[in-house]
Amino acid sequence: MPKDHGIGASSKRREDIRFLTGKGTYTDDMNIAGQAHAVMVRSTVAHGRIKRVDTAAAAAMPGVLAVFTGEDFAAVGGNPAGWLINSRDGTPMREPKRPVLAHGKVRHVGDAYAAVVAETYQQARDAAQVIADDSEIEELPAVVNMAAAVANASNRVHDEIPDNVCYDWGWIEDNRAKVDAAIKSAPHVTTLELVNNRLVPNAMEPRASIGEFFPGTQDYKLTTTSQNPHLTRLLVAAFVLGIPENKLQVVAPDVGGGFGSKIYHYGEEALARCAGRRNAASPSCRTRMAETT
Amino acid sequence: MTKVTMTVNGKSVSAETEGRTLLSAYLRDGLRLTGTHVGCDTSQCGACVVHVDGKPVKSCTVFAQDVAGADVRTIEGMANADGSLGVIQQAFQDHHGLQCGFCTPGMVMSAAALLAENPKPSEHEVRHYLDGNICRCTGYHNIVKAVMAASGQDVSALAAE
Amino acid sequence: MTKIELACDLEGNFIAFRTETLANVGAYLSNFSTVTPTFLHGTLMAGPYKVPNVYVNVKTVFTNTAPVDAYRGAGRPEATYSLERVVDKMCRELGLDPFEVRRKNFVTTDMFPYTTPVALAYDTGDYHATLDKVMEMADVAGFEKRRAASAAKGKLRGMGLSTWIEACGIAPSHLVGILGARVGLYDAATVRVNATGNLSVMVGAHSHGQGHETVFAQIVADKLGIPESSVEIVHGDTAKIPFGMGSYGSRSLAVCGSAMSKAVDKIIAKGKKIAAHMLEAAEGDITFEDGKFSVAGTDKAKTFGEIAFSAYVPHNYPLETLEPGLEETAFYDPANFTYPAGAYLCEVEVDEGTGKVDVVAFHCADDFGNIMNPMIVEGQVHGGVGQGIGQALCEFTTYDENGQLLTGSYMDYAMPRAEDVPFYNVDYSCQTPCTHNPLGVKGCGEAGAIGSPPAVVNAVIDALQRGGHKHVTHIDMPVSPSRVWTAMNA
Repeated sequence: MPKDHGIGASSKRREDIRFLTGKGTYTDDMNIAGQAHAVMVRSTVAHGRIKRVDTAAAAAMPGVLAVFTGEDFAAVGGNPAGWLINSRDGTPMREPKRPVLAHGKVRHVGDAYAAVVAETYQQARDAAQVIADDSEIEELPAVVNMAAAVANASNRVHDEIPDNVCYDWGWIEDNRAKVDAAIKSAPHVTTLELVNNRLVPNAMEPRASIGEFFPGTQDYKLTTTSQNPHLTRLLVAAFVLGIPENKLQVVAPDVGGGFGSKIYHYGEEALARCAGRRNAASPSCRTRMAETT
Repeated sequence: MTKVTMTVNGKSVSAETEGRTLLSAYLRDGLRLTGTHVGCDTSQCGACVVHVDGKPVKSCTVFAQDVAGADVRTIEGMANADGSLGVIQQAFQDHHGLQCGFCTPGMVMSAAALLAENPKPSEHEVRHYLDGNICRCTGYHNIVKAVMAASGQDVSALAAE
Repeated sequence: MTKIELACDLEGNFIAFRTETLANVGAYLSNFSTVTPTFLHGTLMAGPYKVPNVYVNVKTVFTNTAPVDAYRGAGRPEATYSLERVVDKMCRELGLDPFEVRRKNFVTTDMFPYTTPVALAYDTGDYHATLDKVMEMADVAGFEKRRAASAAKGKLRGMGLSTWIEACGIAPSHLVGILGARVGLYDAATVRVNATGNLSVMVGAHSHGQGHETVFAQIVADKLGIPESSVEIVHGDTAKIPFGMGSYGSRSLAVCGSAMSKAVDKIIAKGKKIAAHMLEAAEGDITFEDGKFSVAGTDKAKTFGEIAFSAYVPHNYPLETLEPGLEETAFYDPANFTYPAGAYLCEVEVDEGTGKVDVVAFHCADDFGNIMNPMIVEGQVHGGVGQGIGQALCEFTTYDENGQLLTGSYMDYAMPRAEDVPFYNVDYSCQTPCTHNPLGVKGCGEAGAIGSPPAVVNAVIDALQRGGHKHVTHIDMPVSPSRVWTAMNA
């Protein structure tokens, strides 16, 4: 007989009841009193130099509470990579800053370089469009093909990285000569060239974040679609914004799938936290975005 | 702004709308019925399916003002009168037809529409009917099983071919 | 882009694997984008095989495309795909049976713990058992009959095998520190027994579909001999939970579940002290079973609820030696990765006229170690296989030469729909429990996505080969109708 409870039993899921009756609470389901809405202004070109971002007209539009550009985050940290990999020659990987909002250059279609916070989502969208219209981005040739990226040193994603290579890694370097010799002397060698296709996780719930600031205690709260709220707290507090960890609470409520896409601490999360503070009259800020990656 | 009135889950309701307000936004933001989810905004994922006058509709592609006066049913209206799970909802729990729960409201609403049209669908008919609803968690196995079980069919021996 | 070479003798005994890869990280680095093509990929490049020589080279390149990060399996699907595809190609080149070639190259049960040439130490496994199981499930002997039936409908039928292994339950902090991780990868849990005997269990893992609220409660209830309904699992809030590294890399149960299990053990140990005082017995004489603390060899006993109440209302309590309250926290850092493994067998039908591939059967025999909730394990495998079939048949992010994303919405990025997949046949009866975590579990969340893509592609190539298209030895994923048709008609 299969077990009917405890370890090894196919107990029915208790969480199903709220999901089946429409009572789950995902981030975008929340509506905090005075909640404002943020919309990102995203690059429409893959590679470009930011010549001008004029936010004056947008800032004066109805309902607009705050505007942000890359300039506002130039002094804080970038979103860090989780792992430091060393190349075969022992040198550490090249790790360009990943800013909260793009600064100087945009480097992919969808790279956010400004953001608008407004009383309603539609007002924020309208103002974001005005910033896009009032910005000038000089399009540069895009580095798309990997072989060409390595071969063509004149075309750089990051100006400081000449060959576009992050690292050249060998595992295990000490095995190499032995492996080469074994292959050379083997009776048969099968060779295959293949492409692991690039995928998008597409968890059904898009990403969303709500940042809140409590002026009385100077505490922050970030509600976000995360697979790892503690890690997000550590990254936002210690690495990106440099605020005490004990002043930031991170909540990941019901989250509609992750598959890896909700591990990373995204710039929008840091932005929602900042927008909450800037915008003291409406102390929370919601961003909702579909994945573009 | 225009006040739009309709019947939702048996109750007459109204909320202020702009011309561009979608039915999904009317339900979620206007009425705070957040069980209806928006997964894509391009009418592909089906998480936002509700019934309008008995027909399944993707609420992210319908303007609220266009369905003024309609009889709308959402996931919040699918449980039995005593609050217990309805037959389809219960089958989803019994057969583990959901994981993260985000696509689930749309799946249940589409399944309800299918069973209203076709009370004993075949596996192929279930899969075909649910093609407008994407699930990323379950690989559809247990969703199809749950819908067939909800129709009263024996699903104990279901397998490929 | 990977070039893989497999060296072997003419009987198919593996001598060496060597790979050279260019990996695209996009415009910026993300959390796992640097480790996915390296340590989550290169360390798995021996597969479940006793191959003596392995070398992996990966060059990672910045491009003007969106930054990449981890996706279900992260690096391990890529390793499995490269290996299982090249093994399949080799079998065809030498005219060898793909089942036998795997069988003769598997690490055998007497070899554990087994250290691979790419530095992992597999603790347990039985790769022959899962292969035998999947062959039985799939009725391999009956394939010819099914092929003939497909042919009668005008379809080419093929069968594809993939024998996969992964390292998950990430991760031992001392290892990942050496490998470049900037954080530790332990996890934590607090078990708070409330005065009335019910429990709040705060866990660092986060549930976004996996069902922790149910499964974690099953484990605690089982260990304490109390109803599952008395246990509430709290997750996802840094203000409530001691710490945690979250859920990814099939780690929730193996790492956080282990922390929780250890915290429950501490509760039981403290409960024994309280019981010894209340029952006027030596602590060493107290046993705990079925929710009762008893004096061994007597009928003197206190229920779990009585002990909990006493801890919070300590009128008769050893206050001079024991703190009141009943709440324990444990942090757990695993000694090793866990190594789930399995064998997947896929059958497809290919329409020669259009190139369309239908997956008509998919069989999975997995070894996940001990199983906590079979229903949820099956669901995890279903979901992983569904996504793996998506990768194999339809999913593909495409940029044009200017870096414009051509698959930027669900209208353009094809994901499997209910009609694109079959019912899956899932088995987890081959169980070699993990030797180094208290629950003996290995992790099942990513398995399906890791093992399935090569099984599908191998099946497609098999169908085309059997159908006389002998020149087709490989088609890149996604194996879409246009690619299959083009390959057939090249």
